[in-house]
Amino acid sequence: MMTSGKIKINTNKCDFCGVCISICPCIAIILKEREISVKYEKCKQCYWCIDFCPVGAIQKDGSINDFTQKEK
Amino acid sequence: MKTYDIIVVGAGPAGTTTARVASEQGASVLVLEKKRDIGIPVRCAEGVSEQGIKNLIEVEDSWIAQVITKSIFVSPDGVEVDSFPGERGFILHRKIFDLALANRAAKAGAQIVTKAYVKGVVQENGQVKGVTAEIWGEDKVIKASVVIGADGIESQIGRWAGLNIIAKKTYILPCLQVLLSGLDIDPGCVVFYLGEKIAPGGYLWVFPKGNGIANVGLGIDPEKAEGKNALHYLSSFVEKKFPGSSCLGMTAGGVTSGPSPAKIVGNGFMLVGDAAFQINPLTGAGILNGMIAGEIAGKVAVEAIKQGDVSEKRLSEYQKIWHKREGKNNDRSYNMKKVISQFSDRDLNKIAQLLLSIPPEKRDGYQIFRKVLFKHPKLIIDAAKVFGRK
Repeated sequence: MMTSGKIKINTNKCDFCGVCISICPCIAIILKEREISVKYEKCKQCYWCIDFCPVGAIQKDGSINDFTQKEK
Repeated sequence: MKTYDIIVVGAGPAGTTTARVASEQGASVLVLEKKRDIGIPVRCAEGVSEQGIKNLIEVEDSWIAQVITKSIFVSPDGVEVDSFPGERGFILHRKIFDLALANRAAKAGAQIVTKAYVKGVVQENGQVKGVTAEIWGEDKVIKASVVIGADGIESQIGRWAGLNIIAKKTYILPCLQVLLSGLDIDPGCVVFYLGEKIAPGGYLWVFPKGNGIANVGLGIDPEKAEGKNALHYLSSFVEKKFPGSSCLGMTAGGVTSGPSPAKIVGNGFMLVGDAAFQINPLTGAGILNGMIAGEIAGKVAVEAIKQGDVSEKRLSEYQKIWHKREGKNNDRSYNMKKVISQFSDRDLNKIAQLLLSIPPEKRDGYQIFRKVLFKHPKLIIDAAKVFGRK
């Protein structure tokens, strides 16, 4: 079991394809042409986006604000 | 800012077909495309059936990268089975194709704007009345009688308008494709590779584009992939199968692989193409589906506007016609996919051997099922579920 944490998108790896957005149940990821961002107040940390990213660009960041975030 | 009859969000084949048809019927149409350039990047394997596309539109030679006359399926243990001959196909140059479709829409009178990022829908009394957009960095509010979401797999139009159209996990396959050069392959033959080690829960494709170039890509089911991503599977395959090839491009993407959503229209809006999951769940094909839906949606939207009724009830005519024409086929394919996805590598290897015992010219769907099912009685129950529901 991994620790809870905010998701982090590595924009060097990201292809801006939109798969994460298509499965995000919280509408927490915003994509423009080559700009991607996470609305952390909406993210419920289900981490589906991590499993579905074709290129492994999304990771959990266990070090930031762990004490304020609870795993769903 | 000018008010339009119709705003189409997204300038892929579904969006520009909708725009062209609606413009031809006399509507004022604005197309807003998020990207700076139409058709780029290509998030598609680019294959279509020859008859399918010719039924829809006059085809220009410049769109066609390669004519396909043959397809081969490769079982997990490497047995090659030629499949159903008869139908020819094209591998398109999507960059050229998408641009040509947009050009046809523009010629018909539609106004197309790129680098136009739609941020939300404008709603009044539960009715969609337009969109908010950032166009070349400036925020705008643009009104229209009908908004059409052709905004792809990552579609937000429906969600913003209140539709519950978020895909279940099992309804999306993440995909990755490379454009490889320097390949020694049969240029007229598409090849599909199956197997848990190659593309778990999906398949891998090799679609030739002529001159030793091909789209090589795959879609996987992450639940069956044991924590590995599409990149891992594609890299392993390319290293093994095409060592020494060069990669001229790479794109990620996703295809929907689920049944038709309950609702793809609402008060003042409709969804078309990938945004409406109008993809064959078994094959992942969506170009022609999107164009067919675009034709229907464009016509229905214009009629509804002329009658002054753009309610969900009126616009749902589009969904009904679509479902009769293609949607129900997709649902049947979804049921077949569910059966096929239960096959283990061992099952697939056996099936490949059985298929080889049928002469190639007789390898149609019926013969395959007859042969396969007689040898695997447990599959009859699954097949009955699929075909009993015609």
